[in-house]
This record gives sequence, C-alpha cells and structure tokens, in this order.
Amino acid sequence: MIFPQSFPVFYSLGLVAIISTIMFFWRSQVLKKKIFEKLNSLPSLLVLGPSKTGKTTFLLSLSNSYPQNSILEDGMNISNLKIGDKEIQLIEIPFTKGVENLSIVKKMNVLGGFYIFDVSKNSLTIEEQLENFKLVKEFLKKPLVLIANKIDVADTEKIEKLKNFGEEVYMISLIDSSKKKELEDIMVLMKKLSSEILEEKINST
Amino acid sequence: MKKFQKFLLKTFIFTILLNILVCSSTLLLHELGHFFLGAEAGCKNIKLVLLDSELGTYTEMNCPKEQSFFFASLGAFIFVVPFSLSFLFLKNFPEKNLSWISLGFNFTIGLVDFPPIIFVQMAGAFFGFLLIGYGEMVLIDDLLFFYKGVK
Repeated sequence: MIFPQSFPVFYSLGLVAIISTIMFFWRSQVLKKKIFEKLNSLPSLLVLGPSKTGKTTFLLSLSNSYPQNSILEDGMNISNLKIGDKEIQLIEIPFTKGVENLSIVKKMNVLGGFYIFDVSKNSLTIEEQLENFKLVKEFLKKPLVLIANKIDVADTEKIEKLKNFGEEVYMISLIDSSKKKELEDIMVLMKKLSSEILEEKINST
Repeated sequence: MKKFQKFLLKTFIFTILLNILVCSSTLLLHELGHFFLGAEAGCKNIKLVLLDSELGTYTEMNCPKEQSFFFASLGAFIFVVPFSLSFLFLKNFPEKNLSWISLGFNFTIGLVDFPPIIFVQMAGAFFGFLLIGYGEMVLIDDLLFFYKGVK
C-alpha cells in the first residue's frame, strides 16, 4: 500500500503547492521567453529621454494608436508602425540616470532612436540632459535623432546651449498644433532612417 | 524588470492561495461525502475527523454490509464531482481550470478508499497527479498569458 489510511491535510496540500510551484516556475520562464521573442523579433526604434519630456506623447503622435504598456517595466510603452511593407516597433524606454535602463535592449534589433530633450523652464539642466545623452549614444552606438520638446514654454538659454552642442536638433512642441510641420519632418526622417538601415541589413545578409 | 517580477510574485501567491482553497474544499467535501452517504447507506457510529493529532482527515463508520461500505467509500468521490465541474462555468476566466485540479486531487485522495492493491494505487496516483499537473499548467498559462496578450 502506497497511501496512508487517512490523508494528512498539510501533506496533501503541500504536495499540490509543490506541483504548483514547479509548474509556475516552468511556465513563467516560457512566458518570459515568449515576451522577449516577440520584443526582439521586430526592428525597433527607441524613444529616449528624461522623465516627463513627452516621450509617450511623441510615440502617440507618430503612431496614431495608443501605445501598449509593456509588462516588463513601468513606463515602457510600445507602438507598432508600418513603414512601406515593413513593420517596426517604437519603444519608449523609461528614464534612469546612466544606462541602467538600456540593459533590456541589448538583444533587440535596434535600428536607432530619438532622444528627446526637455527645454522647458522647470526641467533638468541641459548639461545633465546632454551628459545622459552622451552615455546613451556611447552605449547604443546607433543613429539618434535629437529632438527638443516643449519649445512653447522654453527656456531660451537651454535652446541656445542645445544649438551649440554641435548636432542637428529638431525643435517641436507636441501640444502646439502649429508645429505639426516639424513632426511631419521627423516622420519622414524616421522613415528614411528605418528603410536605409533595414535595406543595409537585408543587403548584408 | 521590477514590474515583471512583481507581476510574477503576485500571480504566484494568487495561484498558491487558489490551490489551497480549492483543495481544502475538495478534501472537506470528500469527507462530507463519506459522512452523508454512510448515513444514507445505514452505517452506524459515523465520525468525521477534520484534523486528528497527526493532522489527518478521515471519516470512521461501522457499516452493516460490504456494499454499504463500498457505497460510502466510492460515493465520496462522486459527491465532489459536481463541485469540481462547477468551475467549468467560469469559462471566460482562467479559474475554470481549477476543475482539473479539484478532480485530480479528489481522485488522488479517493485512492485511500480503494482496496490496497499497489498496482491500482500507483496507476490511480499517476492519473490523479497527471490531472493535477495538467490543471496547474493550464491555470498558470491562462493566468500568465491570457491577461498579458502574449498568447
């Protein structure tokens, strides 16, 4: 006989809990794998920048669909976008000082991205933002388009410092509809950037 | 990945609690099945012990005929089946899969009521644990995948 005459409660419940724990560990690993497979399968453009610079609004403006909140990180949003016959994903990366937040993109098929600066009066100093940008650029080693948002409430000193940085910066205001032209320019630039890199990748394989 | 880890931890605790709740209810109903069906079959001195000194759960009874005892023993398994199957009504929720776990657990604990033949008990235990394992897998899959749009 392999079973006792009476069934100890904690023994039987414990056994079920052990089975459940083993199954949970296995299935959560499968889930994690699936999430990363999905995330890494499409070419990606990253949307980077300090907190409250308008990264989500920028994502929304470019993709015209509400971004999907990722299960992996708070503040990580994903939008899918069609460029010609190819599909790419725009991924908003939440801000942290340094490049700690970028470990997640290591295995992704990153084409490039947008770095958004906040030039409003109450934002981080432009030096801090540029310092972070340099770290990001060095880490990614991919083309980044520089965007200065909130120019409707801008600190002119910050704009000047940004202009003197030496790279082309697109000045926009995501809440000001009269600045739609700049956004369209960015869209064209993004399409160009994505298709050039995609083409390059296809040719090289 | 703090958000993901938090989500996993919350889902894990929820899964374990669901399991404990459903299996405890299954065990209680199983013993109640012995109790009521024993009384129905004319058994005397029926005593339902929820927790003895060794934390065991069982029902004692003196039955007049072999058939009555068999009725009280096997009936307990059948007594719980409607409870197990009732989870299937939650067809749009992951919790519908608790049905398999409850059935498997009921089957496994019901094995102590069978004649002590090793082959029967081993085969029964294998089938019971298979049901529990399948139930756990589909429950956890649904809890993890379904709500996150990964499936």
